[in-house]
Amino acid sequence: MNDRYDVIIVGAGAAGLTAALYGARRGLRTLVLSQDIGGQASTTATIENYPGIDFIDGLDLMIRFQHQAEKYGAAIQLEEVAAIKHGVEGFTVTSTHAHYISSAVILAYGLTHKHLGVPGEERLIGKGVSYCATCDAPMFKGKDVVVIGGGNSAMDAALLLAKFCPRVTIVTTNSEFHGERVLIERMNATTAITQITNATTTNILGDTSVSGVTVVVDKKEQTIPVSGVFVEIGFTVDAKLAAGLTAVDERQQIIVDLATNGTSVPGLFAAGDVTTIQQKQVVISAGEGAKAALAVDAYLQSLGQKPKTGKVDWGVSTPMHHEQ
Amino acid sequence: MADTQFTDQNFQAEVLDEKSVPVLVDFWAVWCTPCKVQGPIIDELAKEIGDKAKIGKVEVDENPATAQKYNILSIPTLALFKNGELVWQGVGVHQKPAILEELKKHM
Repeated sequence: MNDRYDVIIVGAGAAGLTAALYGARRGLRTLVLSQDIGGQASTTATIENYPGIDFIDGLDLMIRFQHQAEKYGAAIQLEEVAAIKHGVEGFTVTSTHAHYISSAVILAYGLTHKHLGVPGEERLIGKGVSYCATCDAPMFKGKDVVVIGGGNSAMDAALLLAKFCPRVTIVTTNSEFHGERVLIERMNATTAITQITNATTTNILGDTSVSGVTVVVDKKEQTIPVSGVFVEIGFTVDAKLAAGLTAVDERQQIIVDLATNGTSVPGLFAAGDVTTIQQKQVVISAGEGAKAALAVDAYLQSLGQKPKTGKVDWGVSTPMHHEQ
Repeated sequence: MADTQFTDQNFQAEVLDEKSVPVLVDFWAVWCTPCKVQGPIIDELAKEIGDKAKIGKVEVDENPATAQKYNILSIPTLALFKNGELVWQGVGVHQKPAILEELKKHM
Protein backbone atom coordinates (compact mmCIF):
# COMPACT_ATOMS: atom_id res chain seq x y z
CA MET A 1 0.00 0.00 0.00
CA ASN A 2 1.68 3.22 -1.10
CA ASP A 3 -1.10 5.82 -1.11
CA ARG A 4 0.04 9.31 -0.34
CA TYR A 5 -1.72 11.06 2.51
CA ASP A 6 -1.73 14.76 3.34
CA VAL A 7 -1.32 13.93 6.99
CA ILE A 8 -0.70 10.81 9.05
CA ILE A 9 -1.62 11.02 12.72
CA VAL A 10 0.12 8.61 15.06
CA GLY A 11 -2.13 7.81 18.02
CA ALA A 12 -5.90 7.80 18.49
CA GLY A 13 -6.44 9.41 21.87
CA ALA A 14 -8.13 12.76 22.43
CA ALA A 15 -5.37 14.68 20.58
CA GLY A 16 -5.05 12.30 17.61
CA LEU A 17 -8.77 11.87 17.03
CA THR A 18 -9.46 15.61 17.25
CA ALA A 19 -6.60 16.27 14.82
CA ALA A 20 -8.23 13.70 12.52
CA LEU A 21 -11.60 15.46 12.78
CA TYR A 22 -10.12 18.86 11.95
CA GLY A 23 -7.83 17.49 9.23
CA ALA A 24 -10.66 15.61 7.53
CA ARG A 25 -12.99 18.62 7.71
CA ARG A 26 -10.31 20.68 5.99
CA GLY A 27 -10.41 18.18 3.16
CA LEU A 28 -7.00 16.72 4.00
CA ARG A 29 -6.43 13.06 3.16
CA THR A 30 -6.10 11.93 6.75
CA LEU A 31 -4.90 8.60 8.11
CA VAL A 32 -4.75 7.71 11.81
CA LEU A 33 -2.52 4.83 12.86
CA SER A 34 -2.79 3.63 16.44
CA GLN A 35 -2.49 0.52 18.53
CA ASP A 36 -5.73 1.36 20.31
CA ILE A 37 -8.69 3.74 20.31
CA GLY A 38 -8.90 6.37 22.99
CA GLY A 39 -5.54 5.99 24.70
CA GLN A 40 -5.45 6.77 28.41
CA ALA A 41 -8.90 8.37 28.39
CA SER A 42 -10.44 5.08 27.29
CA THR A 43 -9.28 3.33 30.47
CA THR A 44 -10.75 6.06 32.66
CA ALA A 45 -13.94 4.81 34.24
CA THR A 46 -15.76 8.15 34.20
CA ILE A 47 -14.95 11.56 32.80
CA GLU A 48 -16.77 14.43 34.50
CA ASN A 49 -14.79 17.42 33.27
CA TYR A 50 -15.26 17.37 29.52
CA PRO A 51 -17.29 20.52 28.88
CA GLY A 52 -20.85 19.95 27.75
CA ILE A 53 -20.89 16.37 29.00
CA ASP A 54 -21.76 15.87 32.67
CA PHE A 55 -20.73 12.30 33.04
CA ILE A 56 -19.44 9.73 30.55
CA ASP A 57 -17.48 6.49 30.41
CA GLY A 58 -14.00 7.30 29.03
CA LEU A 59 -14.16 4.76 26.21
CA ASP A 60 -17.66 5.91 25.19
CA LEU A 61 -16.40 9.49 24.85
CA MET A 62 -13.43 8.35 22.78
CA ILE A 63 -15.63 6.25 20.49
CA ARG A 64 -17.71 9.38 19.88
CA PHE A 65 -14.48 11.20 18.92
CA GLN A 66 -13.66 8.31 16.57
CA HIS A 67 -17.04 8.23 14.85
CA GLN A 68 -17.07 11.99 14.40
CA ALA A 69 -13.64 11.93 12.70
CA GLU A 70 -14.67 8.99 10.50
CA LYS A 71 -17.87 10.77 9.51
CA TYR A 72 -15.78 13.44 7.77
CA GLY A 73 -13.60 10.92 6.00
CA ALA A 74 -10.61 10.26 8.26
CA ALA A 75 -9.31 6.68 7.93
CA ILE A 76 -8.50 5.11 11.30
CA GLN A 77 -6.48 1.90 11.31
CA LEU A 78 -5.45 -0.16 14.31
CA GLU A 79 -1.80 -0.65 13.47
CA GLU A 80 1.16 0.06 15.67
CA VAL A 81 3.69 2.46 14.15
CA ALA A 82 7.20 1.05 14.23
CA ALA A 83 9.22 3.82 12.54
CA ILE A 84 8.93 7.26 10.95
CA LYS A 85 11.43 8.54 8.38
CA HIS A 86 11.75 12.03 6.99
CA GLY A 87 13.03 12.57 3.47
CA VAL A 88 12.69 14.86 0.44
CA GLU A 89 9.39 13.27 -0.51
CA GLY A 90 7.90 13.89 2.92
CA PHE A 91 7.42 11.21 5.56
CA THR A 92 7.44 7.44 5.40
CA VAL A 93 5.54 5.88 8.25
CA THR A 94 6.08 2.17 8.77
CA SER A 95 3.53 0.22 10.76
CA THR A 96 3.39 -3.42 11.75
CA HIS A 97 1.35 -3.82 8.57
CA ALA A 98 2.59 -1.51 5.76
CA HIS A 99 4.47 1.62 4.66
CA TYR A 100 2.57 4.87 4.24
CA ILE A 101 3.71 8.15 2.68
CA SER A 102 2.52 11.60 3.72
CA SER A 103 3.35 15.29 3.42
CA ALA A 104 2.94 15.89 7.15
CA VAL A 105 2.82 13.88 10.36
CA ILE A 106 1.23 14.63 13.73
CA LEU A 107 2.66 12.68 16.66
CA ALA A 108 -0.09 12.15 19.24
CA TYR A 109 0.77 8.83 20.81
CA GLY A 110 0.47 10.00 24.39
CA LEU A 111 1.96 8.45 27.47
CA THR A 112 2.54 4.92 28.67
CA HIS A 113 2.58 3.51 32.20
CA LYS A 114 5.89 3.78 33.99
CA HIS A 115 7.38 0.44 34.95
CA LEU A 116 9.18 -0.25 38.23
CA GLY A 117 12.13 -1.92 36.59
CA VAL A 118 12.52 -4.67 39.19
CA PRO A 119 13.13 -8.39 38.60
CA GLY A 120 9.98 -10.35 37.88
CA GLU A 121 7.96 -7.36 36.66
CA GLU A 122 8.07 -7.80 32.87
CA ARG A 123 7.86 -11.59 33.12
CA LEU A 124 4.68 -11.50 35.24
CA ILE A 125 2.70 -8.84 33.33
CA GLY A 126 -0.78 -10.27 32.95
CA LYS A 127 0.14 -12.93 35.50
CA GLY A 128 -0.55 -10.73 38.50
CA VAL A 129 1.36 -7.61 37.52
CA SER A 130 -1.07 -4.94 36.29
CA TYR A 131 -0.89 -1.26 35.36
CA CYS A 132 -4.64 -0.74 35.26
CA ALA A 133 -6.69 -1.24 38.41
CA THR A 134 -9.94 -0.22 36.72
CA CYS A 135 -9.30 -2.93 34.12
CA ASP A 136 -8.17 -5.80 36.32
CA ALA A 137 -9.42 -5.25 39.89
CA PRO A 138 -12.38 -7.68 39.65
CA MET A 139 -9.99 -10.47 38.58
CA PHE A 140 -8.49 -10.37 42.08
CA LYS A 141 -11.72 -10.88 44.00
CA GLY A 142 -10.95 -12.55 47.34
CA LYS A 143 -7.19 -12.28 46.85
CA ASP A 144 -4.58 -10.14 48.61
CA VAL A 145 -2.88 -7.49 46.49
CA VAL A 146 -0.30 -4.74 46.75
CA VAL A 147 -0.41 -1.31 45.13
CA ILE A 148 2.92 0.39 44.42
CA GLY A 149 2.82 4.18 44.35
CA GLY A 150 2.22 7.20 46.53
CA GLY A 151 0.00 9.52 44.49
CA ASN A 152 -3.63 9.93 43.47
CA SER A 153 -3.68 7.09 40.96
CA ALA A 154 -2.18 4.67 43.51
CA MET A 155 -4.72 5.69 46.16
CA ASP A 156 -7.55 5.45 43.62
CA ALA A 157 -6.39 1.94 42.77
CA ALA A 158 -6.13 0.90 46.43
CA LEU A 159 -9.63 2.18 47.19
CA LEU A 160 -11.07 0.36 44.19
CA LEU A 161 -9.22 -2.87 45.02
CA ALA A 162 -10.44 -2.71 48.64
CA LYS A 163 -13.94 -3.39 47.29
CA PHE A 164 -12.80 -6.77 45.97
CA CYS A 165 -9.82 -7.83 48.08
CA PRO A 166 -9.65 -8.74 51.77
CA ARG A 167 -6.26 -7.05 52.18
CA VAL A 168 -4.72 -4.30 50.11
CA THR A 169 -1.21 -3.08 50.95
CA ILE A 170 -0.16 0.25 49.50
CA VAL A 171 3.56 0.89 49.32
CA THR A 172 5.34 4.19 48.66
CA THR A 173 8.97 5.22 48.65
CA ASN A 174 7.95 8.58 50.13
CA SER A 175 7.47 9.36 53.83
CA GLU A 176 3.77 10.05 53.25
CA PHE A 177 1.09 9.86 50.56
CA HIS A 178 0.70 12.88 48.31
CA GLY A 179 -2.49 13.87 46.57
CA GLU A 180 -6.08 14.87 47.08
CA ARG A 181 -7.00 15.17 50.74
CA VAL A 182 -10.31 13.38 50.19
CA LEU A 183 -8.49 10.30 48.86
CA ILE A 184 -6.04 10.22 51.79
CA GLU A 185 -8.93 10.48 54.27
CA ARG A 186 -10.90 7.78 52.49
CA MET A 187 -7.84 5.54 52.50
CA ASN A 188 -7.20 6.11 56.22
CA ALA A 189 -10.80 5.14 56.92
CA THR A 190 -10.61 1.89 54.94
CA THR A 191 -9.64 -0.98 57.23
CA ALA A 192 -8.75 -3.33 54.37
CA ILE A 193 -5.89 -1.01 53.34
CA THR A 194 -2.49 -1.27 55.02
CA GLN A 195 -0.10 1.60 54.31
CA ILE A 196 3.69 1.21 54.17
CA THR A 197 5.84 4.31 53.68
CA ASN A 198 9.59 4.76 53.05
CA ALA A 199 9.53 1.41 51.31
CA THR A 200 11.42 0.43 48.16
CA THR A 201 10.06 -2.43 46.11
CA THR A 202 12.96 -4.64 45.04
CA ASN A 203 11.48 -7.80 43.60
CA ILE A 204 8.26 -9.30 42.28
CA LEU A 205 8.12 -12.97 43.11
CA GLY A 206 6.35 -15.82 41.41
CA ASP A 207 6.82 -18.67 39.02
CA THR A 208 3.86 -18.78 36.63
CA SER A 209 1.96 -16.08 38.52
CA VAL A 210 2.68 -13.52 41.22
CA SER A 211 3.16 -14.96 44.72
CA GLY A 212 4.57 -11.92 46.51
CA VAL A 213 6.68 -8.77 46.53
CA THR A 214 9.84 -7.93 48.37
CA VAL A 215 10.09 -4.46 49.90
CA VAL A 216 12.89 -2.86 51.86
CA VAL A 217 11.98 -0.60 54.81
CA ASP A 218 14.78 0.81 57.01
CA LYS A 219 17.29 -1.49 55.31
CA LYS A 220 15.19 -4.47 56.40
CA GLU A 221 13.80 -6.70 53.70
CA GLN A 222 10.31 -8.15 53.99
CA THR A 223 8.18 -10.26 51.70
CA ILE A 224 4.48 -9.55 51.36
CA PRO A 225 2.57 -12.56 50.01
CA VAL A 226 0.11 -11.34 47.35
CA SER A 227 -1.53 -12.55 44.12
CA GLY A 228 -1.53 -9.17 42.45
CA VAL A 229 0.81 -6.21 42.08
CA PHE A 230 -0.68 -2.96 40.78
CA VAL A 231 2.02 -0.56 39.62
CA GLU A 232 0.73 3.02 39.80
CA ILE A 233 3.85 5.18 39.72
CA GLY A 234 2.84 7.53 36.95
CA PHE A 235 3.33 7.89 33.23
CA THR A 236 6.21 8.31 30.85
CA VAL A 237 6.77 8.97 27.15
CA ASP A 238 7.75 6.05 24.97
CA ALA A 239 10.90 7.51 23.43
CA LYS A 240 11.52 5.18 20.52
CA LEU A 241 9.42 6.87 17.80
CA ALA A 242 10.75 10.38 18.33
CA ALA A 243 14.35 9.27 18.91
CA GLY A 244 16.59 10.73 16.24
CA LEU A 245 13.61 12.31 14.48
CA THR A 246 12.99 15.46 16.45
CA ALA A 247 14.02 17.31 19.61
CA VAL A 248 12.76 16.03 22.97
CA ASP A 249 13.24 17.31 26.53
CA GLU A 250 14.87 15.44 29.42
CA ARG A 251 11.62 13.55 30.04
CA GLN A 252 11.49 12.49 26.36
CA GLN A 253 8.53 14.78 25.76
CA ILE A 254 8.46 16.19 22.23
CA ILE A 255 9.34 19.89 22.19
CA VAL A 256 6.71 21.86 20.29
CA ASP A 257 6.13 25.46 19.39
CA LEU A 258 3.17 26.28 21.62
CA ALA A 259 1.51 28.43 18.94
CA THR A 260 1.73 26.00 16.00
CA ASN A 261 2.47 22.58 17.54
CA GLY A 262 5.40 22.39 15.10
CA THR A 263 8.56 20.48 16.03
CA SER A 264 12.15 21.02 14.94
CA VAL A 265 11.34 19.21 11.66
CA PRO A 266 9.27 21.00 8.96
CA GLY A 267 6.01 19.11 8.40
CA LEU A 268 6.29 17.22 11.66
CA PHE A 269 3.84 18.28 14.34
CA ALA A 270 2.95 16.90 17.77
CA ALA A 271 -0.04 17.25 20.07
CA GLY A 272 -1.32 16.25 23.47
CA ASP A 273 0.32 14.37 26.33
CA VAL A 274 3.35 13.36 24.27
CA THR A 275 4.44 17.02 24.02
CA THR A 276 5.92 19.50 26.48
CA ILE A 277 2.45 20.89 27.18
CA GLN A 278 2.08 20.69 30.96
CA GLN A 279 -1.56 19.80 31.46
CA LYS A 280 -2.45 16.21 30.65
CA GLN A 281 -6.21 16.60 30.24
CA VAL A 282 -8.70 15.33 27.66
CA VAL A 283 -10.06 18.77 26.82
CA ILE A 284 -6.57 20.23 26.46
CA SER A 285 -5.36 17.35 24.29
CA ALA A 286 -8.43 17.79 22.09
CA GLY A 287 -7.64 21.48 21.67
CA GLU A 288 -3.99 20.74 20.93
CA GLY A 289 -5.01 18.18 18.31
CA ALA A 290 -7.22 20.75 16.61
CA LYS A 291 -4.38 23.31 16.64
CA ALA A 292 -1.97 20.81 15.12
CA ALA A 293 -4.35 19.87 12.29
CA LEU A 294 -4.99 23.52 11.42
CA ALA A 295 -1.23 24.13 11.48
CA VAL A 296 -0.77 21.20 9.07
CA ASP A 297 -3.35 22.79 6.79
CA ALA A 298 -1.44 26.09 6.88
CA TYR A 299 1.84 24.22 6.25
CA LEU A 300 0.42 22.47 3.16
CA GLN A 301 -0.83 25.85 1.91
CA SER A 302 2.67 27.28 2.34
CA LEU A 303 4.01 24.42 0.22
CA GLY A 304 1.48 25.38 -2.45
CA GLN A 305 -0.34 22.08 -2.05
CA LYS A 306 -3.57 23.78 -0.97
CA PRO A 307 -5.33 27.08 -1.75
CA LYS A 308 -4.72 29.77 0.87
CA THR A 309 -7.17 30.70 3.62
CA GLY A 310 -7.30 34.17 5.20
CA LYS A 311 -4.85 35.53 7.75
CA VAL A 312 -6.87 34.43 10.76
CA ASP A 313 -7.91 30.81 10.75
CA TRP A 314 -11.57 30.77 11.77
CA GLY A 315 -11.72 27.01 11.67
CA VAL A 316 -14.42 26.71 8.99
CA SER A 317 -14.22 23.63 6.83
CA THR A 318 -14.16 25.36 3.44
CA PRO A 319 -12.23 28.62 2.94
CA MET A 320 -14.98 29.97 0.65
CA HIS A 321 -17.48 30.63 3.43
CA HIS A 322 -15.67 32.99 5.73
CA GLU A 323 -14.45 35.28 2.96
CA GLN A 324 -18.02 36.64 2.64
CA MET B 1 -18.43 -17.89 14.00
CA ALA B 2 -17.99 -14.50 15.58
CA ASP B 3 -20.52 -15.12 18.30
CA THR B 4 -19.13 -18.44 19.50
CA GLN B 5 -19.13 -18.52 23.30
CA PHE B 6 -17.03 -21.05 25.14
CA THR B 7 -18.06 -21.93 28.70
CA ASP B 8 -16.80 -23.99 31.62
CA GLN B 9 -19.23 -26.66 30.40
CA ASN B 10 -18.26 -26.82 26.72
CA PHE B 11 -14.57 -25.84 26.89
CA GLN B 12 -13.34 -29.43 26.80
CA ALA B 13 -15.49 -30.41 23.82
CA GLU B 14 -15.26 -27.15 21.83
CA VAL B 15 -11.65 -26.15 22.47
CA LEU B 16 -9.52 -28.96 23.87
CA ASP B 17 -11.03 -31.78 21.82
CA GLU B 18 -10.89 -29.79 18.57
CA LYS B 19 -8.27 -31.59 16.50
CA SER B 20 -8.75 -30.26 12.97
CA VAL B 21 -8.15 -26.51 13.35
CA PRO B 22 -6.49 -24.15 15.87
CA VAL B 23 -8.81 -22.50 18.39
CA LEU B 24 -8.43 -18.86 19.41
CA VAL B 25 -10.03 -17.87 22.72
CA ASP B 26 -10.71 -14.28 23.78
CA PHE B 27 -11.03 -14.05 27.58
CA TRP B 28 -13.16 -11.02 28.42
CA ALA B 29 -15.67 -9.54 30.86
CA VAL B 30 -18.56 -7.10 30.65
CA TRP B 31 -16.87 -4.52 32.92
CA CYS B 32 -13.55 -4.54 31.03
CA THR B 33 -13.10 -1.46 28.83
CA PRO B 34 -10.13 -2.66 26.74
CA CYS B 35 -12.19 -5.78 25.98
CA LYS B 36 -14.67 -3.54 24.17
CA VAL B 37 -11.83 -2.68 21.80
CA GLN B 38 -10.63 -6.28 21.43
CA GLY B 39 -14.10 -7.75 20.87
CA PRO B 40 -14.84 -6.19 17.45
CA ILE B 41 -11.32 -7.09 16.23
CA ILE B 42 -11.98 -10.72 17.15
CA ASP B 43 -15.41 -10.62 15.45
CA GLU B 44 -13.88 -9.24 12.27
CA LEU B 45 -11.10 -11.80 12.33
CA ALA B 46 -13.58 -14.63 12.81
CA LYS B 47 -15.54 -13.47 9.78
CA GLU B 48 -12.40 -13.26 7.66
CA ILE B 49 -10.87 -16.55 8.64
CA GLY B 50 -13.99 -18.65 8.05
CA ASP B 51 -13.50 -22.31 8.96
CA LYS B 52 -9.68 -22.30 8.87
CA ALA B 53 -9.73 -21.69 12.62
CA LYS B 54 -12.28 -21.74 15.39
CA ILE B 55 -12.64 -18.42 17.21
CA GLY B 56 -14.67 -17.77 20.32
CA LYS B 57 -14.93 -15.97 23.64
CA VAL B 58 -14.95 -16.84 27.33
CA GLU B 59 -16.70 -14.46 29.73
CA VAL B 60 -14.48 -14.83 32.82
CA ASP B 61 -17.07 -13.98 35.47
CA GLU B 62 -19.50 -16.60 34.21
CA ASN B 63 -16.78 -19.18 33.59
CA PRO B 64 -14.38 -18.88 36.53
CA ALA B 65 -13.08 -22.47 36.30
CA THR B 66 -11.67 -21.99 32.79
CA ALA B 67 -10.27 -18.55 33.60
CA GLN B 68 -8.60 -19.94 36.71
CA LYS B 69 -7.23 -23.02 34.95
CA TYR B 70 -5.39 -20.84 32.44
CA ASN B 71 -4.37 -18.34 35.11
CA ILE B 72 -6.11 -15.38 33.49
CA LEU B 73 -5.35 -12.35 35.68
CA SER B 74 -5.57 -9.53 33.12
CA ILE B 75 -8.10 -9.17 30.38
CA PRO B 76 -8.35 -9.17 27.51
CA THR B 77 -6.10 -12.20 27.24
CA LEU B 78 -5.99 -14.17 24.01
CA ALA B 79 -5.10 -17.84 24.07
CA LEU B 80 -4.43 -20.13 21.13
CA PHE B 81 -4.97 -23.87 21.37
CA LYS B 82 -3.84 -26.58 18.96
CA ASN B 83 -4.72 -30.23 19.53
CA GLY B 84 -5.84 -29.41 23.04
CA GLU B 85 -2.61 -27.70 23.97
CA LEU B 86 -2.03 -24.04 24.78
CA VAL B 87 0.46 -22.85 22.13
CA TRP B 88 0.33 -19.07 22.63
CA GLN B 89 -1.03 -16.53 25.07
CA GLY B 90 -1.08 -12.76 24.74
CA VAL B 91 -2.17 -10.20 27.32
CA GLY B 92 -3.78 -6.88 26.35
CA VAL B 93 -5.47 -5.66 23.18
CA HIS B 94 -4.02 -7.30 20.08
CA GLN B 95 -4.47 -6.01 16.55
CA LYS B 96 -5.56 -8.21 13.69
CA PRO B 97 -2.14 -8.56 11.99
CA ALA B 98 -0.51 -9.66 15.26
CA ILE B 99 -3.20 -12.27 15.93
CA LEU B 100 -3.09 -13.50 12.33
CA GLU B 101 0.65 -13.97 12.59
CA GLU B 102 0.21 -16.26 15.58
CA LEU B 103 -2.70 -18.11 13.97
CA LYS B 104 -0.81 -18.73 10.72
CA LYS B 105 1.96 -20.55 12.60
CA HIS B 106 -0.62 -23.18 13.49
CA MET B 107 -2.96 -23.29 10.49
